[in-house]
Amino acid sequence: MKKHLAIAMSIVMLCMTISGCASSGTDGTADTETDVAATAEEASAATEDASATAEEEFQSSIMFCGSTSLYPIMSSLASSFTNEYETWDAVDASFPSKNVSIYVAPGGSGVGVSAAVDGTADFGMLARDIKDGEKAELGEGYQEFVVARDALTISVNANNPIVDVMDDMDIETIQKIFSGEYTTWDQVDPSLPHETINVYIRDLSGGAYEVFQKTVMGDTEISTNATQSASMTELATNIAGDEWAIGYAGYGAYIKANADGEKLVAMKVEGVEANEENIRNGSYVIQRPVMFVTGDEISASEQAFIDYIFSQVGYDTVVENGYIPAFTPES
Amino acid sequence: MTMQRALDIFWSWVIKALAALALFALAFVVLFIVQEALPLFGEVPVADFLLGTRWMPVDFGTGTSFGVFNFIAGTVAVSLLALALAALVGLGAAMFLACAQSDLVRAVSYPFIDLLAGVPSVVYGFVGLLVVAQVFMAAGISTGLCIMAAAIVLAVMILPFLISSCSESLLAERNRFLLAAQTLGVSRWSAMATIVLPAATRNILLSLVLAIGRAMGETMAVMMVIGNANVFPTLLGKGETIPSVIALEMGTAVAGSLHYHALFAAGMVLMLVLLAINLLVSLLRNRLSQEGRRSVALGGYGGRRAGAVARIWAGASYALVVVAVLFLFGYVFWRGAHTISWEFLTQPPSGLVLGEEGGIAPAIAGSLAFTACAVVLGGIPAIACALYVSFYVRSRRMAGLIRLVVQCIAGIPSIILGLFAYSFLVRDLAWGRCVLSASTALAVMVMPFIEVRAEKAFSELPQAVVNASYALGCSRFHAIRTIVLPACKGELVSGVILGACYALGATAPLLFTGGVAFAGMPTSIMEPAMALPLHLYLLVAQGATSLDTAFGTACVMMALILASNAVATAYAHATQKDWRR
Repeated sequence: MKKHLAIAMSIVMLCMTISGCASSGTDGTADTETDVAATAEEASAATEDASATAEEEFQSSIMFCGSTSLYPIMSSLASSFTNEYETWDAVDASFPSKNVSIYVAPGGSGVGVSAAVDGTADFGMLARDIKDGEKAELGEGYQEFVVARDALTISVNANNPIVDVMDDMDIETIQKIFSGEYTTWDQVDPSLPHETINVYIRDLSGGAYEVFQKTVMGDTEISTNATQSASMTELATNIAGDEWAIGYAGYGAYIKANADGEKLVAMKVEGVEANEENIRNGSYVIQRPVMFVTGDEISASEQAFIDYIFSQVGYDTVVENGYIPAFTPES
Repeated sequence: MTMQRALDIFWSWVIKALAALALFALAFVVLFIVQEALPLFGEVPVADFLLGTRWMPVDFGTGTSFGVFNFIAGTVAVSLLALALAALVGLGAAMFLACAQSDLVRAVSYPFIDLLAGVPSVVYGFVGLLVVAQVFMAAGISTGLCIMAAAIVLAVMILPFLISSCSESLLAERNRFLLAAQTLGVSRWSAMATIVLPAATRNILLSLVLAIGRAMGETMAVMMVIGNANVFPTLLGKGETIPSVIALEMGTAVAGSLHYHALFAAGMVLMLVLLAINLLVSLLRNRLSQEGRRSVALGGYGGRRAGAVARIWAGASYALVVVAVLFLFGYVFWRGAHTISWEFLTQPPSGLVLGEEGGIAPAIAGSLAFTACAVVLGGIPAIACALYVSFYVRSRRMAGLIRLVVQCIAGIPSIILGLFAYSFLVRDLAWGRCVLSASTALAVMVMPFIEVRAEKAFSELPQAVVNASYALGCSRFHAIRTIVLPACKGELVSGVILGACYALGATAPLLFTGGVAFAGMPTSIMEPAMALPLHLYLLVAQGATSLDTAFGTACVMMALILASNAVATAYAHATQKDWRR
């Protein structure tokens, strides 16, 4: 009899926990009944009790989602922010003392916009310009925060004999290589050996794919024989491992790959070299902003984290991850 | 009506309701996927979709088209190739095991080979990338990613299932024929090759067909090694499978767009093919048992020489399998052991480049959270379903139908479950990305696994004990509560732990539903969390600088799986009751 009662009670408590949690959505301000909070194993992010109704709803968890280029930077900043201030009241005394929870989910620039639009994330991370249609969907409260600039280098393996022949490629040659019109290296330059050109690109959900298509390929389609890589670093690693490779490795990934000795060599595009200066001043055309966007109003806690991103710590993190910061740190 | 009787009826209804829940899961998932897929065919004719080769889902100025022919071809090609390789080695190893003299060899080998089944798909992809692809690269293929490499990795993945089901059938046939053959003077191996093997042919073919179903649904490992290019598959060329295209493009597709519906349609094609395979197997199996014992033509495959060949083949295959297991675990532990430290296990990831410093504690905790949730959500309906089939069901036809449904659920690829959870739970029900969404997908995945084991445990209980309790006046639920469950406790717990292992290794369902790249320690099931397999996948994608951490993560996962397998097997053994006393 006692056992039945115990089992029935635990099922009731389980149901109450789930329903209590489900009412909170993603911002962690569940209104829980205090007796449930005591028995539930997984306490909701809100440790407040009924008296919390007096306070305004405070957003203690922030969710970023999107670009595979930006998520490592965001993850690192989220980690150091959480380590430094464990609860929100350490960030600002006027905030309640709730645990800091910042989530960073990868997926690609496309995922980032989708998530921001349908509300499954607070901020969408993009590594490309936002499209007008997407901006409209995000609504009137649209804001974008450009964290860094990245360029797409046209990189070949350092062992490819082409580096001794030319260091500059014009847009037309690049188009022909990536579309599959040139299939072997000797078609690019007769002095090169008759080896197949192995093209490496990003997959469709990456912002890079779209940037490259728009700034270089135009109306020409990229060859279906190109190998898709799930991230920039993978792309760079692939080129570094293949003597006859060519691909549009991101500037950051390019720098990182060359950290222990020259593995990749970047071609100049129409005479412009891919370096920090040319990227900053816009003369290197194949470049893209790395940013996060939102359509909602920015809460106080989100603003606090954004200030942290655009501080010296953020600047150092961006540089360390191989990107060019698009801001000067506020002191 | 006494309190006892009322409770009995109540709990019986609870069991029936939970069992029904488990079965409706299948119907619901299938209907949902079909519903989301159909809008595509309003715009794109079915023939164009299935036979078209151009897949350009986003309009970059050149128009869109949705043709999945190359993906279907890629899926079929990789699966068939993997099946051929696995059959060659697996059948030999199964023969070796069936022919082995002592029960001890079998008792040790089965759990050992089953370890392969416990290794997560993402670890297979990881090792495949670092070992198999490197071999192909050294042989001259650029990047080493090709259909052949994916087939090899996939073959190793389906080996354990193939070996266990084939050796079971071979063992049964051996027990029937071997003694008689030996009295007639036929040598042991000759008998195996010319009598036992032909006799088991039909069952082996059935196992092969089932294995192909598993192979086709595999996502992560194949995606990491196949090259992902929309071209018609050739042996040493790149290709792409349907699960890969879904996993790579799911997040991009804007909800409600044609791209979105096209991905669901591709998933639907895969799912329908797998359901058809399961139905086919089920029908054939029924047909088989009805045909009864047939006489076997003696001297079937070969003759005297066959024995010697069979012996060598079986021995070599078995050795190859053992080497594969040892290599897999050994390689990961060797390369990852030095990264493991107390700090690694208890600190969150940190460092300016995340993952280079600190540890993976939130990922471990997150994985445990996902697993625990999945096991609760999936294990309870699974055990209820098994109880229903074993003790409550009235007609055999109903029992057969339920088994078929469970098998079909088992056949749904995990990426499709992830797709379903993303579309229905994360978006439609607005649960958002959280542990609960992901765990529901995992629960559906884990349910058939636990149900099959629970059913097996209940069937091993002697019917006489249960009947005696009924005769003494116990109600059904009372018998279950006081006799069946305590007696089968060991097997049930062991099944649940193994199911948890299975959920631990799953990546595809987590990708868009609840797994994130960074989170703190999990505090609520309505928030997302990190997970070990996802963390590994992301580290691999990040490249060479994070390889050490990746190995450390893989090490931790393998260690957890080894430990759970050991605990589960030991516990089942310890609580095993010998009813013959």
